[in-house]
Amino acid sequence: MLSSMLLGRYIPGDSIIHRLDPRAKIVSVVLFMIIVFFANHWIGYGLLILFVLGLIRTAQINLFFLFNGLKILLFILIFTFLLHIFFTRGGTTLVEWGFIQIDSEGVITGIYITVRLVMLLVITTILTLTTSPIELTDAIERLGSPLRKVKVPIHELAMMISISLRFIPTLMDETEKIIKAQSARGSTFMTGRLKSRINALIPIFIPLFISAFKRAEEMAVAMEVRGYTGEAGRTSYRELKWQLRDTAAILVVILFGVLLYMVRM
Amino acid sequence: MNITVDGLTSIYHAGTPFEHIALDHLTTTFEPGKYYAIIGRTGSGKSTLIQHLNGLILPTEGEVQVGDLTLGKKTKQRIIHQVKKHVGMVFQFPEHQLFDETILKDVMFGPLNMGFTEAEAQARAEKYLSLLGVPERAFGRSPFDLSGGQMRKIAIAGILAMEPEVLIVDEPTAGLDPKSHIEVMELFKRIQQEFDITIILVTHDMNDVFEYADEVKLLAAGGLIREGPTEDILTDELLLTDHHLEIPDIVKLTHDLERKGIVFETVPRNTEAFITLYREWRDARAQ
Repeated sequence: MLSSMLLGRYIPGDSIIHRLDPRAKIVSVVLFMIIVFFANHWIGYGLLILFVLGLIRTAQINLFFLFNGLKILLFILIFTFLLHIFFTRGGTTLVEWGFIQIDSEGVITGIYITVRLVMLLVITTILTLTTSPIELTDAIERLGSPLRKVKVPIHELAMMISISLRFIPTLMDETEKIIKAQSARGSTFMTGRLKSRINALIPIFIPLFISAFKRAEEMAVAMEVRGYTGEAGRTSYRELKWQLRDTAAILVVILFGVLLYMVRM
Repeated sequence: MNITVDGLTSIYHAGTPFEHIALDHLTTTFEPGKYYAIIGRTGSGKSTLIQHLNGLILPTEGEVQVGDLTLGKKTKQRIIHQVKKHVGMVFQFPEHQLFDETILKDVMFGPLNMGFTEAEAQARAEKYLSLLGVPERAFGRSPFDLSGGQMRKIAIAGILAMEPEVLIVDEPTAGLDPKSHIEVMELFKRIQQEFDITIILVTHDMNDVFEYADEVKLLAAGGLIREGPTEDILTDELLLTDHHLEIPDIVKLTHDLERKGIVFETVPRNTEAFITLYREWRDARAQ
């Protein structure tokens, strides 16, 4: 149930996307996030979808698996869609029923915004699926290093991000284990009235917090034992190397952006 | 309470890159009142199998029959809840499931979920805590003040208080000190005999299996390789090495002695039995 969730998960692979420099990937994703907003009618959105599908294929990610993993966000998508359907006015009126009025413009905007959201979700998921947390934080640290001049503790931030990402799956597994243990003791948090369901969460959260705190403490001790003192004097085992293909990847994204800008209406 | 497993197949993450067949058409039975051990190397499907026995996972294919309740692919929550009443489960590191303010309250959690009144639940909790040797003055203390071994005992009491007819225990001695190890193993044997319940033990410790279990089921790659009386399976050195399992120390010793000409009539199951047999052998030789 929880294990099918993909947020923050990394799946090792050997596609060209996997092998790109993580900095190139982050920059591309940020660029793409801007480009997404260039699209303003169906040709633009169509191109966006094609581009993202192409990316998924290149990254060798199973399409069904990807969307199955994002199912958990379905609620937000439906909510956004409905919001636009009910509150955007314009075009011809399709349905009028009491105070509810649905306009054609609303349906179209609803679809567009939802597609936009899905594209953003998918592209960031591709990033985390194809980039190991270590690479990701290395890249964040490098890209953020100019901020050091204004006294931003970028190394510490990167370390925190990498530890958090690293522990998402661990905590998920732990949660699943505790849920199983408590449900073996007859706890029924999947059924029953809301109040009893909320009460049933206590036996899950308390053990979870306890183990999370214990883990954090052990981790801190383990880091100190191995001589971790923060950034000073730290060198990297993995040196990031910018290659031609990384520049090419960014160029592809920029060109796509230009194309999308040209088909604007 | 009889448990029958019929053609049980279990697949994790069906249809994803992580798809994994954990159990492959497994059929077996667990008879009431016996002490079973499920053995096999890591990834052989032991943990998956036991989770099917009390409805934590439902079969992808096949059925699990618990008494007159049937667990299939689409069994309703209500039935699963019933099954949990009959089949108790002590997970690995059960102390991680403790959460309540006091020891007594934590042990009462299971019985209360099973629909017993506050008074009944408390009576049961007190009974099983005492059985485990927890003094009454400790009932009001926080379970988090205890040592690892003690916490584990409280967690086990929490399952026993539900009075299951079948008790499944998954690696109950992992991470325990030698003294607590023996205490916990003796406890399960005692409750099996005293309350006439079925014990299903999952462990890597072949010494424990040899000393305590009546019957053994050997799994490999999601299938049942062999099942039968413990003394038949755990004395088969070839079979055990084939499946990357340790040979119980006492079996090794007995077999070594046989090669030196000291032959016992049976393979002793524990140290005391070994000493007795050795004495008999010496006495027989002296005559």
